[in-house]
Amino acid sequence: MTRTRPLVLVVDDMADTRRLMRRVLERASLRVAEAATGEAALKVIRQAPPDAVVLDLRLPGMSGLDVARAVRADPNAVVAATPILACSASVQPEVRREALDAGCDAFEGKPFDIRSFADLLLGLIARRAPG
Amino acid sequence: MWPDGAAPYDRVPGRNRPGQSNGIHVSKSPVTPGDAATEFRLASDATMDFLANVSHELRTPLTAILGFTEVIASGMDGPVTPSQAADLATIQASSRHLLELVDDLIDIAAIESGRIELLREPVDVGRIVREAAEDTRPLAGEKGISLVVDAPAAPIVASVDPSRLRTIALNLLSNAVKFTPSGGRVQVTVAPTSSAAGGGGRHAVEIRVRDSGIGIAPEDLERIFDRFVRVAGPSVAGTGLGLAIARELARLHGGDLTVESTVGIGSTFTVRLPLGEPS
Repeated sequence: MTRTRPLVLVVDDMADTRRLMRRVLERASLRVAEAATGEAALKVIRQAPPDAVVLDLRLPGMSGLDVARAVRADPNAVVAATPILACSASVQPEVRREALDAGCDAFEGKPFDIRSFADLLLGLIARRAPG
Repeated sequence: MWPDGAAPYDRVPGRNRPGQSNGIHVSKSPVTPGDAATEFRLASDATMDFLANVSHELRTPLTAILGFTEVIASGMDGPVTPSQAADLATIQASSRHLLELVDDLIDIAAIESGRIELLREPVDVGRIVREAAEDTRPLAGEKGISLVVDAPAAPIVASVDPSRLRTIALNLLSNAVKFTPSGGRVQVTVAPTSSAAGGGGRHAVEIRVRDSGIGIAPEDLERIFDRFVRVAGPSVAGTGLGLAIARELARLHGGDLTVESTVGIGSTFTVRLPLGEPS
């Protein structure tokens, strides 16, 4: 295996949720970085684009939707193509639609199924980067 | 990995399974202050916003509870003894019950406010029912109940709101499993039918959930669709909202939910939905 393990940036203002996601993703041999705010997340994504982002929508300050739109509008094509999984405890159909409209690739409601969570991200990564 | 649009959105353990979210969808029409109808609408907007917040705030800690419970139960942290596994299963079941309660309350509030909006699209009813049955299978398995799905392979396409149809199917299936003793049988059938009630022989689809459960006394047959009514008593977990929600959602689609039952033999719940949108 010559390629490094995929890096997932987990963006959530709840430390418990970030810790849970880290446990689950590291168990599936993914590397994990964390951000607690949209502003911090955007900075990380622009400096060193991760292979995928798990994005909470309700964040203090810049919202998850704002982050997704900013990523998609980024002049750097690599940044703009970053796979994004929206993950929110607001599970109304219109929230999901807003997330997809803002450029997220998929939506996962909270509580999420930890058994399929890593596969969901690996699927998004594989779909973006064939080969 | 999966075709566009087929990604497993909204994957949530418990009642909410792929594609299903029983969150509210509220029409936010512009309002002009002053009259009573507007006052009601504003009050109702505030209520729905409040409930959306309550749902979000309850789901957030439940994410950690269900997630870490599953982490431990999966053996990720080391071996789990049978007694610990049983305790963890109780935490999971209780947490899912809370989740169900939150979802039911929001559904019922949305229905109550008369502001629920159906997001109709062409949907294979058989597929939704099969998925709902798969989601109910673990619950049935725990009680040793055989769950049989009889839906034709050929799609039966109806113009319905898929998330609402899923709620209807899940509510009926979990209800059937709850009220069927261990070793019993739950059968769900999906079949096209002509809708006599709709007039003019309009085509419809029928979902029939038959159980070998405790049955319902004749005097209780209509009461079970009332909110918070639980004729079985407190020994069976439930909110008393599932059937009320299922019937309201069926009626919103221009269909209905009816029941036939014999005490000691079992019950059959029948959802009939028109294939097209009622004009």
